[in-house]
Amino acid sequence: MFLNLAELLQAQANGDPKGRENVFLIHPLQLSRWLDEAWAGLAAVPPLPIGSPPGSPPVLGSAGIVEALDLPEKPPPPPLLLPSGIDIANVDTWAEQLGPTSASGGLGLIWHHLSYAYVVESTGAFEIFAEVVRRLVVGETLPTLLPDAVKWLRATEELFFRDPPLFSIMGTVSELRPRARVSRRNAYWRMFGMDLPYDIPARWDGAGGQAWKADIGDGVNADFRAKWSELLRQIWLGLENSRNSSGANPTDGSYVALLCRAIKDMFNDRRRGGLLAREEFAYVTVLSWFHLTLQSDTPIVRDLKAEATTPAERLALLGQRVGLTPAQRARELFDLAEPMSSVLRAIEVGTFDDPGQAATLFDDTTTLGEEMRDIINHWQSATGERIKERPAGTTVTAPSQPLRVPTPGSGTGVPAPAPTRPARAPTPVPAAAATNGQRS
Amino acid sequence: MATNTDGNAENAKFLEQLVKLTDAVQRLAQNSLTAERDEGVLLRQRVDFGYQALGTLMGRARTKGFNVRVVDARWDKSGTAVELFNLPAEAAWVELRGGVTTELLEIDRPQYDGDTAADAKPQSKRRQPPDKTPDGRVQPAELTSDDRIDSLLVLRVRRGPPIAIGPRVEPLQVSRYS
Repeated sequence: MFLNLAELLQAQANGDPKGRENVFLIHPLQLSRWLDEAWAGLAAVPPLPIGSPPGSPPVLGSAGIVEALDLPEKPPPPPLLLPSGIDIANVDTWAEQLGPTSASGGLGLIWHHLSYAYVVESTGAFEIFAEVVRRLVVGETLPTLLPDAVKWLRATEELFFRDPPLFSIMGTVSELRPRARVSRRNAYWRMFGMDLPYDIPARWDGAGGQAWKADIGDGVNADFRAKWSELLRQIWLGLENSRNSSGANPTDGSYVALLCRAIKDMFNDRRRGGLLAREEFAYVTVLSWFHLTLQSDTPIVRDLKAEATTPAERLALLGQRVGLTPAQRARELFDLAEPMSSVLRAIEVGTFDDPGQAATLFDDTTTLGEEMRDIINHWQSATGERIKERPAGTTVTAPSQPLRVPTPGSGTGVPAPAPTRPARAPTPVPAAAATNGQRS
Repeated sequence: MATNTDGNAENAKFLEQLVKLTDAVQRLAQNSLTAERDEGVLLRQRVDFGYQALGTLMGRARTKGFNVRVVDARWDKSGTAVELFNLPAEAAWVELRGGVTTELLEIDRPQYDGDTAADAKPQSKRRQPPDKTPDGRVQPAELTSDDRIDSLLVLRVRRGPPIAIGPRVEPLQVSRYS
């Protein structure tokens, strides 16, 4: 979510990447108010050239969910309900207007798919930043911060580590679901049938354990991972053979489209009536804040002496400061997060429902084809799952497709997925609670 | 000797005709393949453009190509034409979709004399105030100013690659400029 705002601020700074850091200089009250305005920004998004039926918002499972949860059309006067007043030309001011609710030229904005939050959180970024913030506010075990980093610290704690303001779109924490960490895992589990590759740190776990899974019932996309992997495999076949001018070509656009429709139906099952829409917005918002913090040498990164060239390296250095180790494959996960989210959103919209449209996924002359190649590389490296290799043998021919066509829910058509974790899942290693103040 | 020469000439002529025939058959096959291939290429260009538009709306980095051009549009005061602002120089056609109606219209821009100054500006600054002269206009035949236009796609040629996207255009009575 904050990536949209960062893009606007960078454009305002004539493309200077430093402009993105201005997000962290905006007052948390304004950011909090802006999130409600940004939620409504989805309603302005036009149907894309392929996919989504005209006249309806392109995602979220219900045409009415944005309006159902947005602010009144004529908001009450201040101070009851102030606009965010964010002025991208001067972030240290308040203008009597709504903040920017368009990614570009009045088209509205879309937040990332829930997969983005899942993949970024899998790096361990959330837990490392939680520990950084905790140490900064309860003791003096970390260096003193300069004013810009103090702003980041204040905004981070107020936006993500306390109860959200009353009646905010971010209000996904309550007496009924008090722990945000658990609520996020709940959403990931329902949508992808995957839990994070590490346990909730003991400090925050309480006595909950895995009990939250019992509340979910049957509404779990348990075979998402199998279908996603199969889709990547088929797309790789297409990319591998895209320049074939003679000989056999096992690429099957119809089967790729079939897989895309199965994944779309699977997601839409979980999104009926707008379910998980608000949660997705809230969780993507949280993780985009930390991702943005790591994208450059931002004030908090500088003050904690964690300057580096990539988000993964910065995260590792920050982790060192607080005795935590991020995921071993954090680099791939950061690289995977945005492209995977874009492709899953496009699948949800119905962009690849038709074999001709699905062929774009393995057309490496397009942006999308190039991106698919990257996704396959990053997914393979991050999870250890071999996408590019097929069983070889002289007597038995390896099938290029499973026998049965995929179905959205049952999982009977494709092999059962790994239950919870990738085979070589990245595992952040939380340090013992007693190491507060020690460098690992 | 003369017979041999005649025979060679006949053979050469026959060979020439055979080559022409082969070429003709090949051209015929290629034309059919090319048409099919062109259809596929056009469709994939459209899907790719849609994907880039999605990335732009999701806030993905402009430096990675997610920087789809955005035009602005509104019904004119008479309600007979849609005015277009910030058009790219190469824009020639517009596809309008409203409900189940789709119209493909050639852009009329009689006063157009080159790329607009706005082309050089960053996108966030490119929205035109409503009193500016539009870069072009189209006159829909089926969609009226009572209809909402759900999507607006700018094309380089009639069926050609999309090069820009526009916002929803509200009916004239509820236009944001009214």
